[in-house]
Amino acid sequence: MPPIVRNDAIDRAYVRLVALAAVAVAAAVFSKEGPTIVVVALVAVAKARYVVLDFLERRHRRGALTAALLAWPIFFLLCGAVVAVVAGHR
Amino acid sequence: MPEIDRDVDAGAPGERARRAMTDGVNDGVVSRGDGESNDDSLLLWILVWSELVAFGVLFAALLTFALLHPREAAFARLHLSSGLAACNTLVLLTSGWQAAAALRPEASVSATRRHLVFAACGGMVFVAVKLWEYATEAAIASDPAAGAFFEIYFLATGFHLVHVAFGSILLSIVAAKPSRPNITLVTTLWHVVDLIWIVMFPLLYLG
Repeated sequence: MPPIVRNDAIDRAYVRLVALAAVAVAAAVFSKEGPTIVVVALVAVAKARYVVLDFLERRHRRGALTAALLAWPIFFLLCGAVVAVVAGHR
Repeated sequence: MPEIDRDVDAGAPGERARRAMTDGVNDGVVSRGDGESNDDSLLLWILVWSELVAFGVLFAALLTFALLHPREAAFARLHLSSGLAACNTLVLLTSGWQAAAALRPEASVSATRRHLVFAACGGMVFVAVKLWEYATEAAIASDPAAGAFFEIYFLATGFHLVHVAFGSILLSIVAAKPSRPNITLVTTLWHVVDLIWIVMFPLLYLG
């Protein structure tokens, strides 16, 4: 297994996380309609991915545990986006 | 003799601290499981998943309420301070970054302590901002138009807030007595708290 260059990985991940948070805030500020929650949910999935892969160091340890950790936020954010869209049409 | 030399070196306080810090470091590559037995690692992930399942139940309750009572949920969300919550997201991400930096293989004991203290301070800032947010939201919480939304809101965010507060205390304790297995344990839990907030923020404030 190649050595993990932690410093670069976590610093890059942090910069990307802050950029994604800014995108989410911008999306929330400019609109609160159904599609916005979908954009924010997608951004949140990307943020969760960086936290799991880089901060929790799962990028080089792919397996059932990593897949489950990645699936947990995707499941709830997907449900959240679906509920938001359905509730918006009621 | 090498054995005697090692014992003499190990007697120095600085050397003891350095050796405690470098437990679990192999050839400059730090892995999350190093310095722990498989049993410790298993217990850690059981703890992590018990947290994720507990918060998952709260998220399921929130989503069910939002699906069954969309008007009440929309009304309640109008009175939530999403700006403060967004600030708290940045605070927690920065804190998580500092916690991850504490595990850098070449970091000195003082640098590791500094990272952990910054991470703990981030957690305390999160708690302060959240309490301030609660103060602004408390007035509307009893409004019948919001239904049971605020019960779920305070339960979910309060449970998370307790985790952040407790995690900040743990980070401070580990910063005072840093050892590689303890840093791994507390930073893993800290990142899970971070992960939970990343999911909770859009579900509660923007759903």
